[in-house]
Amino acid sequence: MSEESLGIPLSNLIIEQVMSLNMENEKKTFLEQILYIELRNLQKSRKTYTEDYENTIDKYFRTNKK
Amino acid sequence: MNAKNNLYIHSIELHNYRQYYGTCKFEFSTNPDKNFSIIKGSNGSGKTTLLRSLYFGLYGKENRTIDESGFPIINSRVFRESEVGETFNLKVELKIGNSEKALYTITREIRCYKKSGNDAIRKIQDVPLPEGIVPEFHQSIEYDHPIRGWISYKLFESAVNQILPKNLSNFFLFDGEELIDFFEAGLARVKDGIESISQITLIINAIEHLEAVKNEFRKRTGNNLNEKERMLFNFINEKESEIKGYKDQKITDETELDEIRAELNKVEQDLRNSNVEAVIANRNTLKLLEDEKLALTENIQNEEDQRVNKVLELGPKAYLLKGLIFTNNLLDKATTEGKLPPPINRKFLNELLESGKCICGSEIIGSRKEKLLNLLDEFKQTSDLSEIAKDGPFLTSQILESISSLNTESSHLVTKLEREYDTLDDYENQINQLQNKLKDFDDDTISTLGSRAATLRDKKIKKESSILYLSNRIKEETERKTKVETKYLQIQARNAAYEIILKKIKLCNESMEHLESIKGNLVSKVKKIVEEKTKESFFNIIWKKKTYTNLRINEDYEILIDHVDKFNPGKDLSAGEKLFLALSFIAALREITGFPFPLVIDTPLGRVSGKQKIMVAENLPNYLPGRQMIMLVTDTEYNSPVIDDLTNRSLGAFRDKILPYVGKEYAIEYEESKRGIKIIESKI
Repeated sequence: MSEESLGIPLSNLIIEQVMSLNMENEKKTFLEQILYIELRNLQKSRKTYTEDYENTIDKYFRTNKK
Repeated sequence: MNAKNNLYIHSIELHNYRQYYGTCKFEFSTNPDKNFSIIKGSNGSGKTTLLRSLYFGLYGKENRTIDESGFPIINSRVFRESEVGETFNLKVELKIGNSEKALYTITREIRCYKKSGNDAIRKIQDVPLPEGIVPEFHQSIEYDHPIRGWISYKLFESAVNQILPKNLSNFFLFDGEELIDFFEAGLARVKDGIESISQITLIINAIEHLEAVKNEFRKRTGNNLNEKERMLFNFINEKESEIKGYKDQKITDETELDEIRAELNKVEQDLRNSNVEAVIANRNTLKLLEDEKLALTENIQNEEDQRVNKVLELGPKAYLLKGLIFTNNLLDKATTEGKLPPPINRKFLNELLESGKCICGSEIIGSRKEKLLNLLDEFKQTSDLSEIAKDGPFLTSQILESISSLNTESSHLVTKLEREYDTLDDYENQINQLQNKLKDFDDDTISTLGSRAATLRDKKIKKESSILYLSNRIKEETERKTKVETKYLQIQARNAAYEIILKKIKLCNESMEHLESIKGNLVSKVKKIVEEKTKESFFNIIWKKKTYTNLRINEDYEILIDHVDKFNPGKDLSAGEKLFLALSFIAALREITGFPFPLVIDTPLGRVSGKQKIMVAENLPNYLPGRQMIMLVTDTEYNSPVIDDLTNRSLGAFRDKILPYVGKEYAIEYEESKRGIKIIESKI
């Protein structure tokens, strides 16, 4: 068990719901990343998110070049 | 999930924690076949403190609101006995693992330096401590790594959340008495439970944050706008700020509503503990008994007077009877002996003396006259005696009858009085018992609690309607804003400089739409699963399998149970059935969360009585078989035999039924002389 994996996992139900969405896999991955940001914030009682969101959005466009 | 995946609390060691003076250790059963561990003790013996210590060990604070005027978390004897300048500590150490071995050691410690004897309580880091100490908080979690051996984690809270997240702990560590009112405390419990385990908060937060980020992106398109564009841009910003105002107000209202709900629950709990209805009923009974006692006392006094009169009436007659019988006997004897002359007419003698002549014609003078006068004298004495001798037996029998009747009446009166004195004793005992029961209740407290509850209920309704109003405003204004924003973005799409920004905005919008659809599906899906699992668990453990036919959770998160004859018995469920319904709901949530933590229940049977207790005992082992169950019970709920009302025969005690599944059993009691807890492990 690593330090990183010690947080609460994203529930299987949420992952199932994201995976069943009718859209490109890249967008599903993006949604998962957003939800993980929220999960981490929740665990750490952190309220800042703007930078993480913008970075994730930038990363999405860098990776997908769309 | 098999037994190997289940988590077991191997032991808990308390050091100077509240009543637990010095070091006290409990080891719990880790045998899946004997999954029950029992801690029994009377009220105030330290059972609830043990539950609190478990919560403290995991989360660093206790799960109950502690009255500031109550006791500190550190043992008060340790605080009092240590000198200013000395140090002492409080420690809770938990060992948690699988059925075979402990894998985690969680330690919480408060090291205390005594700076003064000031014992006023204040809260530091949510922990009640005496003013006179300077505390230092320590915590550690160690994990038995399969290769590296025991390693220490730096991220304590994350590690503990991996074992049991704090927001889910209420479904694992709870007060059994509250469990019976679990659903009566509000449907929020069901809604909160479902929303907690579905992690809906993550989705709600993600939607909100995507919206905020999108708004930031849009604001970056606000340069070089024409008049129309500027108007739309400003309108959107105004709406955004208006919506933000509503949202902020909604958050404030929701926080306040949570506080109101929490306080209302506490006040209602206090009212239940005060048992106002029982107090009122007891007071009425007391009044009735006191009236009855007064009436009976007056009655007894009258009857005592009557008894005295009877005695007074009887006394002279009894004495008279004795004299009469003596006289009768004398007269009988005199008559038998012929000492009493036959009754002679004194009138004849008087006539002879008056005429002075005898019937023979001779004169009655001299010695003859003297003889007649003597005879007349003698007759005067004996003729009365003759009368008495004639009437005496009749008088005697009359007096005897009267005495016998008086005696019977007096004896009935005495028997009646004896019974009434017994009743009076009963009344006095009952009155004393009720007065003892009622002495701790003061009208002001109950009345204050009652009016506080009414105020809070009123506030709750107002807050709920305010939240509903704000939700509607947010929805309406968001629709207006979205409409204008779509138009604005269509115009801006012609501007190549904003291509990337608009793509980002589009991604945010699409993501929000998808998350909205997930949100709806997720809650209904989790609700469905919770419904199925609750139903499965309930029908597995409930004894009335033919009486109850179905279990459902409706749109308002209300749990409905279909009865074979009657629709939704709801509040008519018995205490035992309500307990099992709550346990089934908890089992469902617990299973969906996937956290295999044990269940720890304080006074599970506190409000389950009679035969139901045996039904619970017989069916409880079917509830989560193999999962560790730690039950903190009172002697009465655990050991007292249950008597069948119909046959008047003993059905045994809860302990008799559950014992085959009990792996560890402890008795605890508070030792006043040591101001600490004595722990005795039973031999099973």
